[in-house]
Amino acid sequence: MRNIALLAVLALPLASQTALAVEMEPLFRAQLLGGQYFFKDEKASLSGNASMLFAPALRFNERWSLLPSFSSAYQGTKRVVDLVGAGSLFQEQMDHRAGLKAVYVPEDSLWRLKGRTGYKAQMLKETRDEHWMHGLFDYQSAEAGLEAEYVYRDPFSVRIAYDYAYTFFPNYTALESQHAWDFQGQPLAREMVGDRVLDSHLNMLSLAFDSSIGAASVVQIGLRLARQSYPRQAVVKESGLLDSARRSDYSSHLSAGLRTPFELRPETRLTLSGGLWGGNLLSDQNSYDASRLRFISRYYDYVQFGTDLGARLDLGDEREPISVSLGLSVQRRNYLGRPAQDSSGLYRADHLVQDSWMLTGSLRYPMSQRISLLFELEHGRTSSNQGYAQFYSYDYSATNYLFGLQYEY
Amino acid sequence: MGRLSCVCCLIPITLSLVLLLGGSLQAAVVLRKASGVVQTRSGSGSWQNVLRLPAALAVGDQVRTGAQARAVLVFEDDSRVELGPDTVFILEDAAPKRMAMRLRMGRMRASVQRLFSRRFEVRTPTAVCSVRGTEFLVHVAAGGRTTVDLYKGLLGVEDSRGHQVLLHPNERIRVDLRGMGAPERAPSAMESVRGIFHAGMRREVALDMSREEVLAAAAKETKLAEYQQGKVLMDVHGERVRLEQYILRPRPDQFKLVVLNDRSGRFDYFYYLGTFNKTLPTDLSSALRQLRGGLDTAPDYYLTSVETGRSNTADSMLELAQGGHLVDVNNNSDFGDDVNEFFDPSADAYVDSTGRSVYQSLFDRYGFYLNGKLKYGWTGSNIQTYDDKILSSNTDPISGVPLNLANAYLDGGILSLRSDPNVTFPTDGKVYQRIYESYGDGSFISWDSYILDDQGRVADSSEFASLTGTALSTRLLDFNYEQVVTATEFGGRKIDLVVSPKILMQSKVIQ
Repeated sequence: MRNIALLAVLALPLASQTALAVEMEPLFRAQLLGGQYFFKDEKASLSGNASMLFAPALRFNERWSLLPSFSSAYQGTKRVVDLVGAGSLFQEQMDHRAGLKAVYVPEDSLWRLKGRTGYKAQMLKETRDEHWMHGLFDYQSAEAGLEAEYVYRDPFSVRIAYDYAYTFFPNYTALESQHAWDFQGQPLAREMVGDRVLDSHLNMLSLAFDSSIGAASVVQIGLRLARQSYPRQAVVKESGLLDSARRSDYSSHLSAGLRTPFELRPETRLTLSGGLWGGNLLSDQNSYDASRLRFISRYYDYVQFGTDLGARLDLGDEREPISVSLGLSVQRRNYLGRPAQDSSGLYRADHLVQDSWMLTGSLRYPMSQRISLLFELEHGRTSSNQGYAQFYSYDYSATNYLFGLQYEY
Repeated sequence: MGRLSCVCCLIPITLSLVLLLGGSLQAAVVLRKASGVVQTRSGSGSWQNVLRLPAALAVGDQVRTGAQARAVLVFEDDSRVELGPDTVFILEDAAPKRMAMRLRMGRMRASVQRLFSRRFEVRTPTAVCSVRGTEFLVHVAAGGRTTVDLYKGLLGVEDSRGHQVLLHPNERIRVDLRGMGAPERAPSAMESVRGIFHAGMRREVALDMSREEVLAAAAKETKLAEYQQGKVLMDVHGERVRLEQYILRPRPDQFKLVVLNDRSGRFDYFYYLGTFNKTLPTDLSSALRQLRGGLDTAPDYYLTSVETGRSNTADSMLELAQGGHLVDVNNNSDFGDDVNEFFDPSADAYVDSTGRSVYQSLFDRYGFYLNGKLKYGWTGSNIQTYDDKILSSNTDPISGVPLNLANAYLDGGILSLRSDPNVTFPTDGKVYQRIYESYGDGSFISWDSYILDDQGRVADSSEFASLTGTALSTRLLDFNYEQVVTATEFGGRKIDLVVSPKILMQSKVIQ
């Protein structure tokens, strides 16, 4: 695809005379996959995933473009990367998103200025009694963002972006806020309690840079800084009661990656990639374990770091290669304020540490220029020094496989 | 004369050749335009930035362009070659009969005048393009993979294995080290523009999806914390149970533990209100560790009254115990209340307390109410054992007011008598216990208790088979506890609570 783009650079002047009218260039991608999910020693029944993306890109002239996009996805087979510590085999998920992005390229400039907005709704059915639109953790998100990209050497660039998102969980209201009094007429809820405690505002600043190194290697560096505030979630005090202050989290994420292609033979190409990343979260929220009367300061604070390794082998025609990919990701998260517990729930002196690794494999077999067969396999393992697993499993393995078709235009 | 005439004939020819050759060396190929970083070098010399235009190129000269750079070469016959960014170009020959050049990498677009007397060749690492008047575009990618698009005229292309093909207008061919493919339709100029746009927009979509993943991860983290704190569970029926537990401080000497359960279509709650002998500290844990009494010594903090409530918002169940005072239950006259397994808060486990003093609060007044009416109760005075309690029959044990049909469940004018409870295990192999209490008026209260894991699975008896005493109690703490209460007075409704057993064990609600 890139070759076509590069070839067309010199052909651009030929088309400039006719580029005044609005042109529409559709982008489309669809996947239909079936598979199964395994958690610990249990397996879910066969199910399927389906997704679709449609983006009718509009080109007004050489400077202005507009990119509306619509995507929908249904997931009947859990992925290993999904939240699985809660252990439910059964989960159905739908995601729907509409977005609009404007791209402006000033004349004779290497800058690209972009503005975007979007709205997303995710629906979940995790238990037998949940129904679409009524899942406890359904959420909707309204987003907007600005980005400036300096393409210093096509396709390499530096990007700086600001994003804002308001995320709300329409079906999640704190129970405490719903029942203020007991049947005796006495208080049942704490003062200062909020209702929509999970709703949040996210402000994020991100920087990204990529560049070629040597003949064909590509290096990518990214940094994200974010503040997430919860306007209706009161901070928990040492006494277990609630403060008038509301929760705020600050997080950062730094990543660096390198990708190097090798041409073993004209029809055999190998791409190796590796990356390191690290991040942290600092929150002013605490927790109070009422069953053990334990106040836990800075409950959410953590640092985490990890590495990703990957290899992709492309066989045959570079336009329609057979691709085999393998990936390994390893990560560790250290909770800075949260003590680990033994199997009976007794708090220990050491802090909670969670390690996980995931191995992925995939095969993409092109059946035609736009249709491919896909096979994906994921296996993940998580372990922790947390011995208490009454609510959430910190020590488990999970596997899933998916097989199906992909169409891409 | 013959030689002279011969010389005379040679002079103009030589002059013509010199002029012709000299002219071609100086101006056969001219670098006419350059934007961005464009460099040239002669032979193996060093690369020099192009500072003046036009600049003549000689055979063997090389031209390279940097990122975003372009260059235009014009030949003496007005043929043009446009070089794109990141391109390396070598002029190999500029003879009158043959113009030859090499494209090592990058891309060039050539517009060649139709001169039948001159051959125009473009070589790449994998292909040779021979033309006689045409317009075409060549791109050399990594590994020498070459793509040739022909717009006008005819173009001969040969691969490194000697295979040849003649391209016609609007045809494209790809050549690599394996040889050449079949000619295919070349994209038109407009299609090429669309191709650029398509690729650019795909990149924008990919960037948006990456950003979307970041935002989705934030929402996932929010959900993760709810699971980790045990605020969402599944019950024995596979249905969602939301669980919130927290404490209140109604008075300085009180604390109130509240447990809320929410399911689809129902809401149940439980609370435990304890009043102590003195003001409680900010850190409740030091006082509430003594909730179950003191081992060997009297506790500093002890309960003087307890109130527990259960409700499904329609029905209610209230227990009141007042007049609490400390008694060494292992050294009173009632062996039945001896505590042989004492919960030691320092070890957060049960320890053997046989033969040791255990000081606990015993209460002088107890009332059990369903939907606001007394169901069962008793009284005493500084009782040292519950064997001394006196069952209530005519007056409320707490308020002391006379009982009537409005404030109590009476049978023959007195409080209905409760028979000894019947304990059964309805499902073989499962930790599911039913306690059935029947009353003289024909009413009943049934307590169905399940030990569940966090997936709502009822525990197997085998998981506790080898455990007794302290080990059994400790093992129970790994599970959830679901208690379903039904009663004649509830009219078919029930109170269904999922709680941590630790709460109930420590508060003596369950044993």
